[in-house]
Amino acid sequence: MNRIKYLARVVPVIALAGIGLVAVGVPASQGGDAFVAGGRSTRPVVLPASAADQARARGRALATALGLPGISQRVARLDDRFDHRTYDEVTSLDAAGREVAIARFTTDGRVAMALVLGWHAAGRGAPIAESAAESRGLGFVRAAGLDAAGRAVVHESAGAGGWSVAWPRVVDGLPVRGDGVRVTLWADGAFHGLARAERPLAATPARPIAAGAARTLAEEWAARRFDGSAGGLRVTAVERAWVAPNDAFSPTGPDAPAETLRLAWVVRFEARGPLAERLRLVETWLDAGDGSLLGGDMVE
Amino acid sequence: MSRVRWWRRLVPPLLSAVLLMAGSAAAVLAAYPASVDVNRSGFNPPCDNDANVIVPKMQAAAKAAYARLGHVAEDYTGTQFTRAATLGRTAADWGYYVHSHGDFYLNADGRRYTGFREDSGDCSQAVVFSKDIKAKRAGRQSNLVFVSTCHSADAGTTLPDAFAIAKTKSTGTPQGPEFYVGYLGLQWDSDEWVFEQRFWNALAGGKSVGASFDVAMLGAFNSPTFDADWWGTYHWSGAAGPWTLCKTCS
Repeated sequence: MNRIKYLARVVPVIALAGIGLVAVGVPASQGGDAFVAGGRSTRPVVLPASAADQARARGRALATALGLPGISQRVARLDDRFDHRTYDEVTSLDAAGREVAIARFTTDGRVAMALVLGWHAAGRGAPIAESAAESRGLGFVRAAGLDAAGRAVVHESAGAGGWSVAWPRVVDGLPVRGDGVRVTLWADGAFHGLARAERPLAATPARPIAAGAARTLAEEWAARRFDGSAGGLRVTAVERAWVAPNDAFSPTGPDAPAETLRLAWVVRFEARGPLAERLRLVETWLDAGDGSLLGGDMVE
Repeated sequence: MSRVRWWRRLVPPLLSAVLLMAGSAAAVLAAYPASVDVNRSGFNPPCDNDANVIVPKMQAAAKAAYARLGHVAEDYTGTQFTRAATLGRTAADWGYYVHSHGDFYLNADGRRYTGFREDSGDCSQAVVFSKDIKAKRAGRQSNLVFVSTCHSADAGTTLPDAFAIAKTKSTGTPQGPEFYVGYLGLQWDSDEWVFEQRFWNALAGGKSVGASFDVAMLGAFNSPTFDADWWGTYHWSGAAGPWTLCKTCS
């Protein structure tokens, strides 16, 4: 009888707990399974206390170097299946416990991201010119213990609240798309955010195909894909670059950009005429070694 | 005590739990619809011979994200995403996501408005103008509106106003549980996908809409000049319906 009473009391509790678990969304599986569209990219993984202390210390040091706000830190280790990396996320809190900054460190201790939260309304300080943005950004990169080389790509950015200053990664003279260091600045040159990406590269093909061969392959691909509309496409660029293979034109590809980048011939087409009413630009990415399709992209 | 009586004692709590689950879910879900309109036909068969797989991923991610925020999220593509169907649904929508070809299109009234193309399941796709949406919504409150098209967040965009979202960035003084996200100029699908997944993931992690936007902006984009913009209340949690402030947000 006592057992029955106990069960009668705990069953609703278990049922409600179950509802709670459903509501917050428990991951269906744990481990190294691939990212699937519709799911979350990140999930927390166990962070040993010593590593948490280390991450917290790194967070404090970075906050001092970049002037990030906050008086306390919360630390979590996240497995990011979309970006294919694990990082320690240090969230800085103000006196009221509100989130005011985020820093991420890869497990080797290097800065992956830093961000001041909130909006920095115009008019706090005098706006800086484009020419000053690069040197201001470089100062923040170095303060974060990173380096940036090569020509910076500076542009006025509404989303950044001022300026975006990027140093794209270049390997043996070839761009590594998506990789590099980027700093976002408020209009007055104050620090807003920083991101670093340096993904693994596959081996360079021993016998790369020529640009002309890549162009021919791409034109054949476009003719198959766009059929009667292919006449509305014009090749505007044929260039080599490291790319993260994707599933743009292959349903069997991964939902996230691939972890390891491959050297590709990137052939870009511009659309004209009626085709341009639904499609502006198309790129096909062909393996620089064998011409196979690695993925591609579109501007709609 | 017999076996039957034993189970009788369990029926009320189990029933109440089931009713609580079904009832609360229905109460939350019925109130705040969100539509996810995705133009697949323009970039897939029948208009192209091969599939563009990035677009369906955006659709799946958006639908799941709106559901996580507490909306009744439904997605529409092909013949379900037509100008008429979108305008028929919009008055009831609290959340809205669209991925399509977007631009400043010339309207029959001789003026240009931001808009996007329907899917309609064929390759002749009518434009849904912001003007049309504004007329149907008639100033009705919106929650999260994500217009995943080119030019949707250009300085002159007319789409936020169609959803009654003022083009102001509010932090100290909230302007309501609303947030509009779009892209500047021309953007590549792959970069939009990176941005959107980062945005939805940060929201799912409890960050405010503004913080999620900022996190999304720091993705590994193929184009070093990728850009997006927002208007609304930075510190809002993104949850469906009237005010729900994010307690931990800055």
